[in-house]
Amino acid sequence: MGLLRYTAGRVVQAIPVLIGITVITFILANLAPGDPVRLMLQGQEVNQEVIARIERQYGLHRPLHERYLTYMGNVLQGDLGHSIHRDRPVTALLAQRAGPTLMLVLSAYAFALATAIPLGIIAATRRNEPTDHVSRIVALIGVSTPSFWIGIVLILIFAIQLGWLPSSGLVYPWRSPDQYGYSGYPELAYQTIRHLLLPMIALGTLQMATLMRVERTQMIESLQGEYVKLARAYGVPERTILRKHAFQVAQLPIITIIGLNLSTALGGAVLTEYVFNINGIGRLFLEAIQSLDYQLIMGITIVIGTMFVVGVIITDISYAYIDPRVTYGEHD
Amino acid sequence: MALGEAQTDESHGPSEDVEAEYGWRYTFSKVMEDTTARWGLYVVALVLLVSTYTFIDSNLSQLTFGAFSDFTFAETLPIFDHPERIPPPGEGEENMPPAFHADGSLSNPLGTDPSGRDYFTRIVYGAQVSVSVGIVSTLIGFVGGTIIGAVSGFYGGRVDDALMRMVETVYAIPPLILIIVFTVFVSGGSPDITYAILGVGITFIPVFARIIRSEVLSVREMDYIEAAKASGVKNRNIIRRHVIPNSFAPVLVYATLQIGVTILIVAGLSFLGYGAQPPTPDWGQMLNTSHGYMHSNVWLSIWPGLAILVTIMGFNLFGDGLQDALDPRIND
Repeated sequence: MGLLRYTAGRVVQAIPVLIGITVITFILANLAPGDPVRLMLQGQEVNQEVIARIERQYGLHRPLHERYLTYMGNVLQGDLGHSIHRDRPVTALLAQRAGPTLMLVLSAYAFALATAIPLGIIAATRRNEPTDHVSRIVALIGVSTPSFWIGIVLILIFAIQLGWLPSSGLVYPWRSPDQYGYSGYPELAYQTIRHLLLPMIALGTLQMATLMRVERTQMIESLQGEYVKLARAYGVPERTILRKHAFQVAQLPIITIIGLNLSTALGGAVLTEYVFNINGIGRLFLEAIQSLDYQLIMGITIVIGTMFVVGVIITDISYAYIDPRVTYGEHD
Repeated sequence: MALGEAQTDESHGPSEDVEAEYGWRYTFSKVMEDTTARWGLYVVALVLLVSTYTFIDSNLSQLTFGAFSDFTFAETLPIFDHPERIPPPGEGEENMPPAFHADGSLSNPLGTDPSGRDYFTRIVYGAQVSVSVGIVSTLIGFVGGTIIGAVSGFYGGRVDDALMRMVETVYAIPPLILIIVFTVFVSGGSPDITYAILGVGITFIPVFARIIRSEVLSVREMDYIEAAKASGVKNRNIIRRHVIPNSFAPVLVYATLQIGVTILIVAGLSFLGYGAQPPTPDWGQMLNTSHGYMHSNVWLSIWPGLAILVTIMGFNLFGDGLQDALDPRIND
């Protein structure tokens, strides 16, 4: 039952942060100098009547705090407002675009984990050998390169020069193959992977590099632990020590890093979606910014902030679940 | 001096000659002993030198020939051209490949851009924007974060709680998204590099605040703070004279690494069109322009990315080296 109470506690702790996100977004959106309605209309010639109507529709004639409370009331009921440019509810727009972004971010994490953990372990067990140096250089380049440029280079090599992979768009596995004109589900799956490969690597490289650095340090530390010495003294084979004794302990910090890196990954998704022409939340955000679509921008920022907070809570809970040393209810 | 103090607190049984072993000079020599850190320092020094030179050149030219002069001293050298001026039709060849290419020429070692400007000059001048943005916005975050973190950590209790909730809130929104929203709204829909610098700086205040706070929490318990309190020194003065100088070293390391992160983010911002605006030469913005020429001129997308990569790698290597040199656990 301890875990349940711990979970509830973490959720309660997150409430001020979630409120804070809405406050920041709201203040920023209202910081804009000049008349927001005119800004929204971007210099289009409209008569006074239209402006007055829009102001009434959005309640812009009322004081700021009143508007905030109304907005929050709506948010709590799951209403993120109405996009003036697209004339559709913000939630509907977000729901439509969430799939591609989730697919991209999750696959990038899968790629990062699948490469970073083995490479980190290899680097740790062959410390200061050539393999270690190479993997450290890879990690260094990974943290020093802009994700969008990795995307550009990947497109230049694999799409333009070699022509092996497509350079833009995604294929969604949840749609029917007929929609794309594919012969069946195997082709749909194949095309999904083909389209996802480059953006996944572009977004995942930074995660891979950071995770690999952490994995290496953790493994080195773990391999020096008393329990490893004891296991060695008992003559446990080195492979078993690595797999059973050192590995598990070393994974705990990785979980925390994954949660915290979600912020970078979501920000990176904006750039990756732009480079690869993917119709996800990131592109939606850029389009909203371009047209100064207030409600949509606020909605997206709140949703992304919430995604991060939820992600951190999930990793915290799984950490507590996996590591018996964490006492529930304690501050992190 | 400040650094020296910080180090002696951590080490056990400091030797007689504390200044010699832990001062600035010692740190510097430690960094120079480390091959990778030394190369990092060389890169940082080169980039700083180049951007200082181009900064002085463009400003001196303006002072000498008036604000609207279309001339830089650098272009009198055979290797440079004017970074912004577009050559009149028929004079400069557009989209020229780099010199090692069969169609290239040595007068444009990296080729020319779609407007016929020398790409090498633009890459060199691009350092100025990246570096100044990196340093200025890191400085904003550093100063703001130091004040907030020091106050928060020193007073603790409610002040600390409130400030840390604020910090967590800003943390929750991916920096790129927060900065774009800030830049676009505060500038009233016409973003440029000044807003980007401000936005990045303010966004990173919480990051610094968090680090300095945790340092302050340990410094706060030191005997000399107790002694200062007992002798009636005002809290404000204790924070200024004792707390901040003694929590300084880790933050300094972090700041060096943060400059790299900042350059990375500003490159992304400019790439999306929310940072430096044309015709200002900026690496991110150049990648934005070259995005439309990926099929016709591959090299346009390569050079700015490489410049970003090398610069950030320099700051990262130097920062890592500084960390090792300042970390007392590794020093003994």
